[in-house]
Amino acid sequence: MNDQDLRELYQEVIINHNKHPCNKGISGPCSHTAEGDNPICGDRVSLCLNINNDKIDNISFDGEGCAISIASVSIMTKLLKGKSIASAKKLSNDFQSVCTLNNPNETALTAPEFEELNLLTSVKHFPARVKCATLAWHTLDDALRSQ
Amino acid sequence: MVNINNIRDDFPVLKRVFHGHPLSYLDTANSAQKPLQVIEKVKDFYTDSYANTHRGVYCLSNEATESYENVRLKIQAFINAPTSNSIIFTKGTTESVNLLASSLGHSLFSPGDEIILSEMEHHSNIVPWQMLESRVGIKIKVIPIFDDGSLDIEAYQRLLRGKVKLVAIAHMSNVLGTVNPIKEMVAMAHDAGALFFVDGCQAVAHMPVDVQDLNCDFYAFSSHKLYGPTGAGVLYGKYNLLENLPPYQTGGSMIQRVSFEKTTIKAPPQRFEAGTQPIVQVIGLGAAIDYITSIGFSAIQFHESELLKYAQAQLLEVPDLQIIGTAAQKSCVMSFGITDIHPHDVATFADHHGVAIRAGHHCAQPLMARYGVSAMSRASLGLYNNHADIDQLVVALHSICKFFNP
Repeated sequence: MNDQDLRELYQEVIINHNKHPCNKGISGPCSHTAEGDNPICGDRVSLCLNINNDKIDNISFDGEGCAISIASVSIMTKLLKGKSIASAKKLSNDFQSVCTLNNPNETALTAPEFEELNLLTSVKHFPARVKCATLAWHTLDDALRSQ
Repeated sequence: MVNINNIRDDFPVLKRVFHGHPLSYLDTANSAQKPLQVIEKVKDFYTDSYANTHRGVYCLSNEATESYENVRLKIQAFINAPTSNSIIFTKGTTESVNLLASSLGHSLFSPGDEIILSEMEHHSNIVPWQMLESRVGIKIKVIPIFDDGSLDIEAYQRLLRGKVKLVAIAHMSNVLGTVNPIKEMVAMAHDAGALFFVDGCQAVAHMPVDVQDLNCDFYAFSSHKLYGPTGAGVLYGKYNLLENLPPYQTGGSMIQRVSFEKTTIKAPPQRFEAGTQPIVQVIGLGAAIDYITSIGFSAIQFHESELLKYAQAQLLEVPDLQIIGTAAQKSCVMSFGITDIHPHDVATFADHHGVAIRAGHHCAQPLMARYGVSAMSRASLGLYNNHADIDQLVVALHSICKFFNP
């Protein structure tokens, strides 16, 4: 881990998502909800999804936490609006496997629409922070299993 | 006077370099680094002197038993306990509290009895008592704290009017650094007919403790916060109280006679030391106590209080930084927040400058809630810290402020 890695992780886009997060504030109806937290550091997120005919019509969140966790949930909600459940699940799996270096599909996030999300994957150089970046996505997985 | 350079030479880990910076270890409240004297004692014991204790007829075993029991005597002197049989070895403060809660739960408490805790307690001095709410039907009452992190003693006085059987309070807060007026609080508890347990986990490394002067009924601390190895700790109890406590863990060593018809158990402290003990860890703890005693608390306190004053003054120069915990009686721990920058991000940047601080809820979630936050950053001092350690932290903090608010 070097200075370059730190700057990659805390890029301006991440800082901006942290300062002005997208879709903050639960706005129903919520067909699927879940709550997640990182007990070690105090990051906390609540998700509300409105899913109709297999499509995520709306997604919003509430919560507090470090810049990485807030940027991650903000970027996630921005990306998932309008996506199918299948696409959301695949994106969640791809992002988490890249961050945790667990059979990562290195080309999964190269499409232009995933540029901001791809920036977040530099968290893989900061093992203590991976859970901050993946918290929103674990919570999404729980929400998609709920009803 | 502490010769800080000589002391730092005793801690080889301080020579390590992280991200191009020498290690500035400001997390002693989490766990203390160990001096060579402790490391070598542990190694030597395993090399030349190891055997199980209280079990052998041969010389090596007798030697090991004597070395282990000598540490019990050492601890008796260290905290000025009246007798060595009032010193129980445990795996740490958490186990000490669990032992006490479990044994008191089976003997002292009845449904409706009250236990007084405080808002600043560590989870290890909250959750074991909470287990007794459902098991025994006790009620927990909580002393509030003022914004500066000091206990509201008038509120404590009012709580003592209830059906209180036990008060359980930290000697020194691991988040706020507050040093509580234990002696005064013990006297008030005894007047109300309640026993008093002190969580001394943070305090023992930074100030002399005299359990007879405090007149507390129980006192617990951990080796690893006292520059000793992990895996060992102490529970002190007034002997007449320990005699009436049932055992916690049972099995070998704590029995007199075992048969399927009837088993009899030993007197304290062996009653509470079931199975093979953390022998070498206790030997290491003895070496840690020797080390601290050779420097002396007078010199340690002078060094640490001057460093705390310097550190707090430097921290307050960082824009938008607030120190949390500003009680008049405070030691060695500085929790702080920086507006709009999460502690986890602060700690990552600090790490990048070679500085080890802690970020999170510090096993004190009720305390975090009381201050309306989910996490705090915390820098804490040990006897090996110096001005350069603080300067390195402050450089890191200025750098993170510039990064987030250019």
